[in-house]
Amino acid sequence: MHLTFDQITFRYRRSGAPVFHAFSWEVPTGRTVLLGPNGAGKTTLLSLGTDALRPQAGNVRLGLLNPRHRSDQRGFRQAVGWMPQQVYPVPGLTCREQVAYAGWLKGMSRGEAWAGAQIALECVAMAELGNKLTVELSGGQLRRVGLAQALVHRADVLLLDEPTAGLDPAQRTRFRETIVDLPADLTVVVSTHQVDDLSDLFDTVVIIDGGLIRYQGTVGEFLNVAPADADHRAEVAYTSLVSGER
Amino acid sequence: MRRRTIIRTNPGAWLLVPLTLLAILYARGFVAGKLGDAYAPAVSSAGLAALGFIGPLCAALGAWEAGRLRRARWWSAPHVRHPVAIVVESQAPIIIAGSVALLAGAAIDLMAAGGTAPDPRPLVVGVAVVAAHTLAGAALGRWLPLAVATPAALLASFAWMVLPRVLEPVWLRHLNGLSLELCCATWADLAPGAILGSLAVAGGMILGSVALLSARQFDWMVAAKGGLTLAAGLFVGVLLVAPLGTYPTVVRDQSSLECAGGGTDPLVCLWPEHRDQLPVAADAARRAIASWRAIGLSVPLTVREGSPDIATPGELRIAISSASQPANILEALADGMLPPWPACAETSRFPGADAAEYVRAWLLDTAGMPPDELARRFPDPAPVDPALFPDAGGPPAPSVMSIIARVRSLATSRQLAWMTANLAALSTCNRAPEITPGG
Repeated sequence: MHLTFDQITFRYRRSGAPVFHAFSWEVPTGRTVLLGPNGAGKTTLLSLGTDALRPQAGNVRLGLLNPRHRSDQRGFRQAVGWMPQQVYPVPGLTCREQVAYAGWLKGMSRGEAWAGAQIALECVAMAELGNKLTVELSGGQLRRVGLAQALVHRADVLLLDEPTAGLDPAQRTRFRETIVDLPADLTVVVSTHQVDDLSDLFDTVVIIDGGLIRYQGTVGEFLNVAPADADHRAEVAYTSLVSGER
Repeated sequence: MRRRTIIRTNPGAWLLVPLTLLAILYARGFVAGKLGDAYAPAVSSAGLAALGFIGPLCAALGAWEAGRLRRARWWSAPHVRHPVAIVVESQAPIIIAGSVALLAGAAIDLMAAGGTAPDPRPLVVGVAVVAAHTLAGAALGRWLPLAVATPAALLASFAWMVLPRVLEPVWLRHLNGLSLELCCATWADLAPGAILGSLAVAGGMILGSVALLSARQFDWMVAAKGGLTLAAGLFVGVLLVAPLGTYPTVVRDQSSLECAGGGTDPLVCLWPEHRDQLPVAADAARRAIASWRAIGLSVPLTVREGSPDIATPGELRIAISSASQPANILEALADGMLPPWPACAETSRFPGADAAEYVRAWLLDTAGMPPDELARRFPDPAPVDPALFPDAGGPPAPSVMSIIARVRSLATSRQLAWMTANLAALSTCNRAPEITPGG
C-alpha cells in the first residue's frame, strides 16, 4: 500500500499563506529520508500523512483508505505509525505502560497492547527499561519510547519526524541502528534537516522546501550531484540542490 | 490502559478509599444523627449533602487527570479510539470514586434510619452531578495549564454548589442537585421538576464537557458547541425548577396512606412509615373526637396525615413522626383542630394569635391529656425582672393552666361559646380573642 498525497492544499490559518498548494506525492516504498531546511514543511507533511492534520483540499490516501471517510479512518490511522518531533512522557506511566497506552489508543485491546508494548520495546532496545518511569528517561531513551509507540500497533507505514534532533552523536548512532533493525517490509519516512543523518540505510532521498518536492532520487544519485572528490558530499549535494532551486 | 495501570496512576483510584472514608465520616457526624423518619426519599436525599465536597474534589481530580494527558500532548494525536472512549478511560475512575463515596455516605444514612430501602431518584441525580463536575473539570484540564485548571475547577465547582442557595430567586438552588438534601417530611415527596431540572443541568454539563474534550483544536466553533450545549441544559433546567419554591418537594401521593377504624369510629390514616403507631393513633383519635363532640364542637370523623399547611374540609389533618409518643399524637390531633392562620399572619402578628396556646391547651385537656403532661407543655410565664427589662411594659399574659381551669369549670355551652369565639379569632385578621372567660 502506498501513502499518497493527492493535490492537497493546507494552510494553518484560514487567511494565512498555504504551506502546501495542490501538492502531490507518492511515498516510495522502503526507507526514505525527507530532507529540507527549517520551515520547509516536513513536519506539516508528516502530520498530514498521519491524519493529525487535515488538508483543506485534496486527499491523503493509503491504498484505498481515505481518512476523510469515517469508515476508512480507523484502518488508515492503524496502518500509519507516527513519531512526532517531540515525545512527551505521560507523568506516572512506565515505558511499557506508555507504549501500551499508545497501542490501546490505536485500537488494540488492552491485552494485545500490553503484549505488543513489550515487543515494540524490544525492537528499540528498551525492553530492560520497561518498568522505568518515562519522566525519568533521557532524551535519547524517550525518543526510542516514541519509536516504540509508533511501532506497537504494527503499522505498514512509519513516519518519523526528526527522530534524532537534539540527540548526542552516540544516541544518534544508536537510533540509526534501531531504524536498521526495523522490519524490512515497513515503509519508513524519516524527516530531518541534518544532512549528516543520511546513510546507507535509506533507499530514497527526498528534498522538500517551500511546500514543493525539490528532489527525489536514490542515495547514490543524490551523492552524485556533488563532485566525486568533494568532502561532505551529502552536504554539498544538498546545498547545491536547495540553493540551486532558489 | 491496563486496569492495574489505572489503579496505580489514576487519581480516582488513589482517592477512592480516602474519599469514601471522608463521606462515611461526614454522614455519621453530620447527617445520620439528624434523620427523622425512615422515609426513603428523605433519607436517600440527605446523603446528597456530601456533594458539597465530593463534586469540587472530583472536578479538581478531573482537571488533574486531563492535564496529565495534555502535558503529554496526547489529546490531539490521530488516535483510533473515539475521543469519548479516551475521556471515559481517563475520567471513569474519578466518577466511580466520587459515586462510591456518595453512595457509601447514603448507605450509612439508610442504615442509621433502620435499613430503609433506598430511593434511587436522588442517588441517580447525585451520580450525574459527580459525573458532570468531573467532566467539567476535565474540560478545563484539557485546555488550560494544569496549575490554572485544577484550582479553577475546584473553586468553580464549589461556588456552583454553594452560591445558588444564597441567591435569589430561590429556585436557583434546585439547579445544582444539592437542594434535594432538603427533602422531605413524610407528607412531601421529591418534586419531579427538581429531579429532572438538576439532571438537565448535569446533562448539559456532561455533553458540553464531552464536546470540549473531543475537539482536537480549540476554536470558536468548539467553544460555541460546548457553551450552547451547557446553555441548553441550563435553559431546560430553569424551565423545570422555576415553578418550585424553597423546597424541592410536592405533596405526597395520598394513596399510600394506611388506614384503621371507620364506621362509627374515626377513620385514621397514617403514612406507612408510621404504621406502628396506627393503633395508638386510632385509639387517641377515638377518645379525643368523642370528647370534643361531647362538648358540641364540630369535628370530622376522618383523620389523615398530611401537610399541616393544607386543610381539607371534612378531614382532620395531623403530622406526627416515628418518635411520637401517645401525648404527641394527641397534640397532633389538637393542632389539626386549629384553623389555618389568615393571610395577614405571614406579614404581621394578628390579635387572634394570642388565643392559640389557650385553645390548644383546652383541646388537650378535654381530650384527656394527663395534668402533669399538660402543665409541662404550658408552664406559667416566668416573672420579668423590671431591673433587667425596664421596657417590658404591660401586664404578663395570663397563665394558660389557670385560664383552662376556669374555662373547664364552666358549663358545656359556655365552654363551647369560648372555643367558638377563639377559633373564629384565630382564623381572621381583625378579631380580638376572648381569652379570659366572661371578660
